Amino acid sequence: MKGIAVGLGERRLTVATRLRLALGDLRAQPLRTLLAVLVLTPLAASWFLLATIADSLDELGVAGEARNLVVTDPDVFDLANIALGDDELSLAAATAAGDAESVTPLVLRLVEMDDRVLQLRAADPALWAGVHGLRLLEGALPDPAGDDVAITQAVQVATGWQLGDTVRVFGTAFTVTAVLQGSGSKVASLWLPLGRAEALFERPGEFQFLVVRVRADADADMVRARLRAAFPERLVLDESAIQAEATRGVRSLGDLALVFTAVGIVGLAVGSANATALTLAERARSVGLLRVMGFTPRAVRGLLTARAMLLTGAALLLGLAVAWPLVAARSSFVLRSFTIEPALHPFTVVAGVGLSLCSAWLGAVLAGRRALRRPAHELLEA
Amino acid sequence: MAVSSFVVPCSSVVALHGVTRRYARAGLPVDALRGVDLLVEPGELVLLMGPSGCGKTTLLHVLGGLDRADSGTAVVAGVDLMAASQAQLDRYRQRHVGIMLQSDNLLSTATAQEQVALRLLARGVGWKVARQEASRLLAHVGLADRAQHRPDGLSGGEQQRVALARAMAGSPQLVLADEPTGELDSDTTIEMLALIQRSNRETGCTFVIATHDPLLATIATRVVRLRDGMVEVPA
Repeated sequence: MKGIAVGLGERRLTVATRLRLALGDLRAQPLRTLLAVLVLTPLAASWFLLATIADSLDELGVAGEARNLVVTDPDVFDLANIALGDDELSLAAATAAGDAESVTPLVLRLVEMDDRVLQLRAADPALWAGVHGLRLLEGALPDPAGDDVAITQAVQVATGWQLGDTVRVFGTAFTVTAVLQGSGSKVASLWLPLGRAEALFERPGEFQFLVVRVRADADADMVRARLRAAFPERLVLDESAIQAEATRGVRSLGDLALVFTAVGIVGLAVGSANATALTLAERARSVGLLRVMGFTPRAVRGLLTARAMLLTGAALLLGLAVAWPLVAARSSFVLRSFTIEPALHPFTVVAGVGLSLCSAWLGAVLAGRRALRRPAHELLEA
Repeated sequence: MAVSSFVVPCSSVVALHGVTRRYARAGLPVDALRGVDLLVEPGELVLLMGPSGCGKTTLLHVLGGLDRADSGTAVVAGVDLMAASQAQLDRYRQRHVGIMLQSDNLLSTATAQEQVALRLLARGVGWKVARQEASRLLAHVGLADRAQHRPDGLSGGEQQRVALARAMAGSPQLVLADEPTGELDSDTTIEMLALIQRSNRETGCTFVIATHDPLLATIATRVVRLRDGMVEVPA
């Protein structure tokens, strides 16, 4: 029996060989492997779902317009009693001077419809896109002379209203003629032409917000400081700050979801460590046999970690397969007055999968440490 | 005994002198080896015989670098097993010694081919070469057609033949076997003996076999008897 008497150096098992051997081991016990994967899958699926929620909520409040400076009354919750007019408009225009693209009024009221509190906003339709960042998705912009109203997509999702539907706003029937996409604080609101709103509320020339659109090349902070000096009794904010403030509570839920996501990843690590520990407990003799064959503790650990990472990888794939349809089934959902669009960023997926695999690796290493400290002859007797 | 007082003959594959090993079993000390002296020359096929509990398996574990003696000198294939670090013992098992255990020799989830290839992979041989060599060794022990079977699809005799092929993988200087025929019927035992003898003669590999089976004496070049952890000196 002539064989290879190879005088090999200190070459270690390649990653490919480790994975191949680990895969062979897992395939040899399909039922056990399936069970191990199924135990980890709910953790992986919940991880993806929580990451989606965290990502979605993280986007709330970052879409505000930093270039839109808003002047209003400090008591913004009492909208019906805020009355800004031409004097304020003139003063703001003079203060902003050449740093402003436009200085325009905005009517803002809260309206209760179908047990929901919605924002009703009104501005000159010519400013809807340029100043307020609205995009027409469907239909036609409201006719200022008619009883037309536009709704944002978020309102449509929340209420089910369609183009042509009639809705009653402060006692008047309006026809939905347009669906808009709005961002930031305007994501869920009804929109009317300014003149129509003034007629509806019977307060011509009166508005609640004064919007100063700062030029792109101007220093918005400087303009805001000047406006604050000019309006010492008023509140002067930029829209992004308003939005950030308004969404702070909801975004904190996102932070909580992120914490749970991290817990999910730790859970995967613990699950993986548990699977490795069980394998070692049941198959200590197999580890002893590997040591008999000349496998170093490090090489055995390499096989164990490869096995754990394959199990975790399979659980992640299966978890994604479970979670994805759940995420894709709803393009958006409403949380109080916020419409949240589920989003799972590739970076989050890659980072999470990487972290999960690293956790699985760590779990397997920790689980294997104790077993691999035992002498080979003890492992054989186990 | 001090190492310096023990001169290792250059030609010996195994050179043990005054090897002792004490275990604690159920809280009580057990002297498994009580000063074993043993020299084995290259190409020998040595049987270790003796009653149960006489220290055969412990001695094989010491020779295989699986366990360390408490005292004495143990030089095998030129490696001082008493002074070797754990990493050196791992390398020693990779390169110099093949081991057949008493039972459950094989990994339950690996095919026959993988069992043999694993030993070569452990010493750094690439996957493809390891598999080719494993196939050749399995053919040598008459199991070419069983290469893709796992242990639960192999008979006891076939499993031992896989274990022999694995022990011979990489052409070690020494093969240690613990009761290689212990669980085989008489016909299979004879086949196994023939295979061991052929392997010994064709490769010149040294065999040290622990057994109760007197049939094995028919192929041995020498029989060493152990009693109470010591080599019995013939009267």
